[in-house]
Amino acid sequence: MKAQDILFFVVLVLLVILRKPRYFVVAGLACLAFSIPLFAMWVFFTAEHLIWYAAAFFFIFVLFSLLQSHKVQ
Amino acid sequence: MIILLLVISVIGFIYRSWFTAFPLSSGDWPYLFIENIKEFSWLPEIRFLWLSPYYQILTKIVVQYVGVSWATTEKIFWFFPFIILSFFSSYRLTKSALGALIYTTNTYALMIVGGGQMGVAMAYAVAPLVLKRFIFQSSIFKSVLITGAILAIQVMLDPRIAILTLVASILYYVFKLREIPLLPIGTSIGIAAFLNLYWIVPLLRSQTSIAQQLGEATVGSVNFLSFATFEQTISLLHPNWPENIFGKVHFMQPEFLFIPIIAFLSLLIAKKSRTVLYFSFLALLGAFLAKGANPPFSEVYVWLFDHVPGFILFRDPSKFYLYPALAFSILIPITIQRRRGSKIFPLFFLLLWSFILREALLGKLTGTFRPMPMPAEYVKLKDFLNPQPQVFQTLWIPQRQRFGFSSKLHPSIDAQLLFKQSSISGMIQLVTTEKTQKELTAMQVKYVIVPYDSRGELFLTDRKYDETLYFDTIHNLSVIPWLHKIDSFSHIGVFEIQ
Repeated sequence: MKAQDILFFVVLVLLVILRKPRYFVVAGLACLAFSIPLFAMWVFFTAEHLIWYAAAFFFIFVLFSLLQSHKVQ
Repeated sequence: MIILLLVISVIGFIYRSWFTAFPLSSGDWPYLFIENIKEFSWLPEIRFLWLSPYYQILTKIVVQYVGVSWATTEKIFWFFPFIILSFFSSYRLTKSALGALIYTTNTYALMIVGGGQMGVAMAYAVAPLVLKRFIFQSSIFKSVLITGAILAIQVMLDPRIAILTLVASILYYVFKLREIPLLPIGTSIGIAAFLNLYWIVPLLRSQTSIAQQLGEATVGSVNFLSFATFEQTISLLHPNWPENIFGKVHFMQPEFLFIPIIAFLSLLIAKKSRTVLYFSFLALLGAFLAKGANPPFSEVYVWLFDHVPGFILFRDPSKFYLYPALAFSILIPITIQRRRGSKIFPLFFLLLWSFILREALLGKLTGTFRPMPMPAEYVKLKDFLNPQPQVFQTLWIPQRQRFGFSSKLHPSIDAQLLFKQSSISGMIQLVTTEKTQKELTAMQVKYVIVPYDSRGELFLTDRKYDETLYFDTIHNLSVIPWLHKIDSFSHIGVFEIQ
């Protein structure tokens, strides 16, 4: 497991504890945004992993939102 | 209105090269001589699978009986309808000009039409309409009939895309926590299946065809065809963009990442909408599956391929690009048009989209986007071969060019398939042997033909046209004593076996 992965899991746990689903979207968007300069600089490993984390954050947001269905129209 | 006009202008500008008198044959899209069309049966032929009514029978009527040329027919019935249908159906689903722009001109759409996969492309064009009809399925009989008919058309164009559209429709009901209207949906599917029995029954009865299909659908083929990476699929970036050379995967172009950023921003803007949740999930699902056996979780696709019935139809995972394309054409307009009436964001997005697709706007796309006239010499070759009454075959080295004539009376053989050789020098080495001469005579091969590679597709070194390969091939065949060169052709090397 690389340093990026550890950081991802730390952020993930923090966000789960905070229980604010919209933060998952913010984290996902941040991952996508951070990956842009990395791809431009050909730092592919970290950039690729950021994309995976972004997808994971969005996916968790969707799951959270579905589970909290009473709050969703 | 301004945005709509700008969107139509951008779409028209991207597809401008199709408005030509030249044939668009490229990639998988063939060129058909009228002699080929006359050989088409009035009944669906199994070689054309589901496309028979549209590709085979309609072409026969229009070209053979109405007298319209193939170059015009292909545009009237395939290429222009793709633009119109794709725009119309995505506009119906998204109710947004930007949504229609995204769906009609994303890199996946451009690469499939550029590569001449027009059956897939037309099914893709109809998909938003089918999805809309299924997710707003009415139980009125007329509506069920119309939905069934539209689905039947999509199945006729490409059943795999139709299956994906149906799966997306079912997922919608799950997300919306609505009961699936089984009776109307089942009836529509039944109508579509009934109307497609013309190919389903013969395919089921023809054991060889199914066996062939299953034989090609191996885990190895999935691994081979998994070209796209996850960052490409989630960005709606086709791995072959923009050159569209099969197997040549490009590096990630980071500007494409603005697409998912804008799309997933909709989760913050319309966070209480189950529609947004559904389309976000669809985008993630499609992006995950479209990368096939690539990381992350590369084993998932292989497992699905091995264990889920019917998944073998998706040995080429790129079909799943349909989902991000559908999803982003809904989600991006939600983000962009959050302030109704504001034109700044839509205009900014149009600029961004134009920048991302700059190769298309600058006319740098290949395939059907680069129409070329058919060399007159190929008509001469057809007129030379076709009137000969005896049955014989032609051997093409390395393979038949797309304008090369082949008919039921005079079928062609590709040397690379016959000799199981990928290099031209290897083929030549085999041709020079006496054993090959005997074999070719036994196979009733009368002519060995070296094509004029007018599109630069056959004589390649490192995927680039290499004229020396062509000249070497002509020279090496010229010195074979049992081959007599027919001099009436200048660019096409035609050798008669003595």
